[in-house]
Amino acid sequence: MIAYIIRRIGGSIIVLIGISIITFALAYLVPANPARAIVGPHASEALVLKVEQQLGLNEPLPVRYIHYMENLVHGNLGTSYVLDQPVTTLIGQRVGATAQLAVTAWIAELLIGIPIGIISALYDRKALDHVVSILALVGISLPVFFVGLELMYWVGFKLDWLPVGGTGGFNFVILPALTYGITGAAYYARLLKSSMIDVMNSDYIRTARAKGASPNRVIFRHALRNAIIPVLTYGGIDIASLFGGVVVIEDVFGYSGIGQLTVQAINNLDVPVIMGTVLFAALFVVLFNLLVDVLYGIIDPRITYS
Amino acid sequence: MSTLLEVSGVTTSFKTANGFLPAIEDVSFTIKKGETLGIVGESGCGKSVTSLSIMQLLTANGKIERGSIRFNGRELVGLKDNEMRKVRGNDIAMIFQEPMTSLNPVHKIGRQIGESLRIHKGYGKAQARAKAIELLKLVGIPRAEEIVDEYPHRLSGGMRQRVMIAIAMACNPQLLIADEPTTALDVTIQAQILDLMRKLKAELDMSIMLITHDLGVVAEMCDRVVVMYAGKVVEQGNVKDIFRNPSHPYTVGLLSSIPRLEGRQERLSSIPGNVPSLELMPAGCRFASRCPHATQRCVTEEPSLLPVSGEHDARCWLMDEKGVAV
Ligand SMILES: Nc1ncnc2c1ncn2[C@@H]1O[C@H](COP(=O)(O)OP(=O)(O)OP(=O)(O)O)[C@@H](O)[C@H]1O
Ligand code: SF4
Ligand SMILES: [Mg+2]
Repeated sequence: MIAYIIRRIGGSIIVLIGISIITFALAYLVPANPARAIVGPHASEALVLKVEQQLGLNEPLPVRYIHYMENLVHGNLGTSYVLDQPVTTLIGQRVGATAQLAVTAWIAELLIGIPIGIISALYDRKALDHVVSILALVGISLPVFFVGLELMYWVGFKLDWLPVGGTGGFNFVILPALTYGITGAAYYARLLKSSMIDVMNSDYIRTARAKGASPNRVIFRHALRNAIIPVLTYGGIDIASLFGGVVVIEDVFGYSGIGQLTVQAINNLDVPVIMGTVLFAALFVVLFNLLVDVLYGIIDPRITYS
Repeated sequence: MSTLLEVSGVTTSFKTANGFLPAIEDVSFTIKKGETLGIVGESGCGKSVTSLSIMQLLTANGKIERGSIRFNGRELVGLKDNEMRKVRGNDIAMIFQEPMTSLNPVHKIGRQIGESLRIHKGYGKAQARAKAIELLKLVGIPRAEEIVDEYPHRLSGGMRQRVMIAIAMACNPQLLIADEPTTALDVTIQAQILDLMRKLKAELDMSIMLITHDLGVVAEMCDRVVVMYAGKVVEQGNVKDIFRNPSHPYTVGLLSSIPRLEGRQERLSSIPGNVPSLELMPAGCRFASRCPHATQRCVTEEPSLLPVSGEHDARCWLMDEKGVAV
């Protein structure tokens, strides 16, 4: 198990290096010139050249990449072209807010999606399943910004229970997380429903019932743990992508997280920040992938690490 | 011997694409205390539906429409689920055909064996585990102290079926329903499992309802036998009587298709034709399309169970012609 994790971490580093090369190349190979983007369209060619020199943009791409990686190893992600601050500082400022939103949003999805999945599996094709499925369908079809704005209006403004937007304590997280929960839960519900139906028809559930187990015991002790296994992979990808930032929701709620930073950086061709945020997001994808694989082994004893 | 289980006039139907159709009809038999009753018949004859009706473990699309199932004189049909749950795994236990898939892959063996003790007997965790080890030894599993903490995927099919038997034995049930417990196993393992069941039956003083395709198994294990065809009981009686004097042409067919070669196992399939489907159940004798003795009467009129001798009955017009009392 330990050996497996070490091997996986080694593999992950290679993946991250690959991602860094691709992002680096893509960021600098776009036809737009970052130096031109900084000085503006009307600045003189000389100024552009000067800025290029300052940023080291006149060197060949591979050399620049090597420089970048040297700095990266020392924990230096470079300095934002636009905001003139170290990228690590920019990410560091937002990482707490993003993590808080990511985890809360993910839990909101699970809290809404898992019960819906269970109910619609147990009442498959009965009235309750139809009601719940329609609700889930509505949830999945509504645009994120619409749900966000409605919540903002009703809960934040009319009822005045929670802040309408901004970044701060946990109060500021609830509405954006709920928005994500409502719009994202249906996918979990659907995945869980189909695996739950399979599991409930399995022989070992019949065995459990033949022992005289109550419906609750059958569902929660026997079925759920088996049914959740296929949902795990999606859960890992989902929370990883949440750590990469939730652009639309951050935008609607004026929440300053990684997503906002990324979008600004892309608009400004602020390559160091783009690189930083992409690598940050990739790191979480890799991390949660590993975590999911380890969890698989814990939940399902049939899986062995070799 | 007093009666343990009395099944009378049970009809169980399933909702299908073609409506609500009976899978078993008017099924009646009894199991006495300490007796092993065999239920035989080809695939699809309703053997599993019969056992699942007794346990009330039918899938949601199935329902016992008519009839009575009395266990120790107590009516089980119509019992509330929480009452029926106290019977399942406690008074009546069941093992299934598929040992490979009948155990929960994410629970340890010990937990699965101890579960019914925790449900029915109020055992604590440690107590249930200790008893699980005892039960593993009882069913002949070596290294019981280690196996109790293993997961099912580490065990072979034969071992898993032993574990299933241990689960069934946990609460000392009065009736064990075994639905083709050896069909999925190798011949040698089959013999071991049957030996084990015989041993446990003697030790624990229970009755067994043994469902099988294999009349050889019936001859070895059972006191009495019920032959089912297309959802109906077509012949029943003592094993001796049935083997000596098989009276329903279907039973005759089954008997002649027992593989003679030592150790060769086959499904009973040498009677030409197929069991009619639920949708196309004939009006007369259900076996008529495959019966070498079928007459016009057989096609139009369905025979009832007619006595052959003593406690031996057969659902066939031939019994009528033979002039045995109707
Ligand atoms: N859940 C169900 N839904 C619909 N029809 C069913 C269901 N279970 C059984 N049946 C039908 O009932 C009939 C009897 O099935 P059953 O499983 O009892 O046969 P069996 O005698 O146990 O056969 P086998 O030897 O293959 O186990 C079959 O025609 C089958 O199609
Ligand atoms: S009733 Fe007729 S068709 Fe049916 S088994 Fe007897 S002889 Fe054959
Ligand atoms: Mg069956």
